Amino acid sequence: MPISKITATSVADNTLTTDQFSANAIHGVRNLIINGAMEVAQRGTSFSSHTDGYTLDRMRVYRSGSQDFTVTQESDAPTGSGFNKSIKIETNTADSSLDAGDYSIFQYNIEGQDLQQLAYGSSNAKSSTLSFWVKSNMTGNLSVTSEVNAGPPYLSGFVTINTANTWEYKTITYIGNTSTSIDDDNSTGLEFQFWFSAGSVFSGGTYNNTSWNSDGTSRVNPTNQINIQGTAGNYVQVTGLQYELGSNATPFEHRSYGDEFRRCQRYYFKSGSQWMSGQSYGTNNSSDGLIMPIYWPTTMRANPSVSFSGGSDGGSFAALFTEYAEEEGMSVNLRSTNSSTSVWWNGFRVTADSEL
Amino acid sequence: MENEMSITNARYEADRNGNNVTIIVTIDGIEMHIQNPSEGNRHYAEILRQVADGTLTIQDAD
Repeated sequence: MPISKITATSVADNTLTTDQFSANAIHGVRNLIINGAMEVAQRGTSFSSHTDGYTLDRMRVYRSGSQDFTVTQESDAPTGSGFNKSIKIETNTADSSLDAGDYSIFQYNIEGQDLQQLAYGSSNAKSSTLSFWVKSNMTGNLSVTSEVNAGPPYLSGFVTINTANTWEYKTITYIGNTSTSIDDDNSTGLEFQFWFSAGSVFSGGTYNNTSWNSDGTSRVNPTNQINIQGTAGNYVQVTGLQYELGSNATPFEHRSYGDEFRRCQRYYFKSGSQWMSGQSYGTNNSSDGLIMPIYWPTTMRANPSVSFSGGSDGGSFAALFTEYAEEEGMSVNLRSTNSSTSVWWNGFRVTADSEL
Repeated sequence: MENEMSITNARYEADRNGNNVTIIVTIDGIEMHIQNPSEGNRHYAEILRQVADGTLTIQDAD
């Protein structure tokens, strides 16, 4: 908003409102979504026969049914939008029978301690707005459910995809929840579920997108809901995902790649492919060995699950173990499983997963 | 909403003092090492759930 528009009169007569500030002013760190521009892809840029798990950083795709997907990072985005990447979820193996319990979901979770400004569970609970670009070969309604502390309660919203194979900008505003507070910790505070298909277990109730409720059967708008799983080749693409305080969607907050990358590393870390090497003497079957400390680039959300891959191990007695894997770092123990044999391991990769 | 993970080959790993500090487990085909305990870790929570349900047993450390 031009500074010339802000006058004592405009403030006093309520011409200038909080919502106008949200819509026009430049704020810092408005977007509570990490990697909303779909730029960071530590796990890879293509996931074939995908059924459940994280794909591009922070973006989870999962399903119930016999369908599976090809999930890719695409160099396709709305022209002139400032985006160059998108996530594409495309049905690889179709499940044409939409059973009652079937679903196909694209999901984003936010830590509760990052959402306390919403003041949920109080009379001052704030409205918030989700915005994104979407493109699909299907037209129809796409339901997006917000769930407190991984639900219930739920509040559903939906957008309508009007034109096939065309980027469209969508927004959903969620009223604040005055009854249920968001846990102020590192667990899931809000879960957003984009329903790409949904059986009657989730859409068979009386649809309600105006109030928070605990009816799991009303999470999806049953009218003209898209069904990605029915035909191979059906797809949905998303980019420019933003979630912010207020009743208005503001322009996407573009952050630097390095900034987004570091934010992603709170939830997932992947080292270089030849990151660590070592040599260890033979011991009495795993009592000691070489201890290698590792510090994560940033404090992780919770103790991560660690895995090792790659490198060459210098013999069948070499083994890598984890002594500790905590939020700040870990220690790798290279051991010999044979007391008379020294071992070495040349160049292995460490990954640490602390996703919600 | 959570899908059930495929968890197999669960076993404890002890530190030099004999404490079961790590659970080594195969989750959806990938071997993972998880500190024991690890509150807030979704894999750890699922391991506990499946142990409580009687569908998963964690083997003792070697």
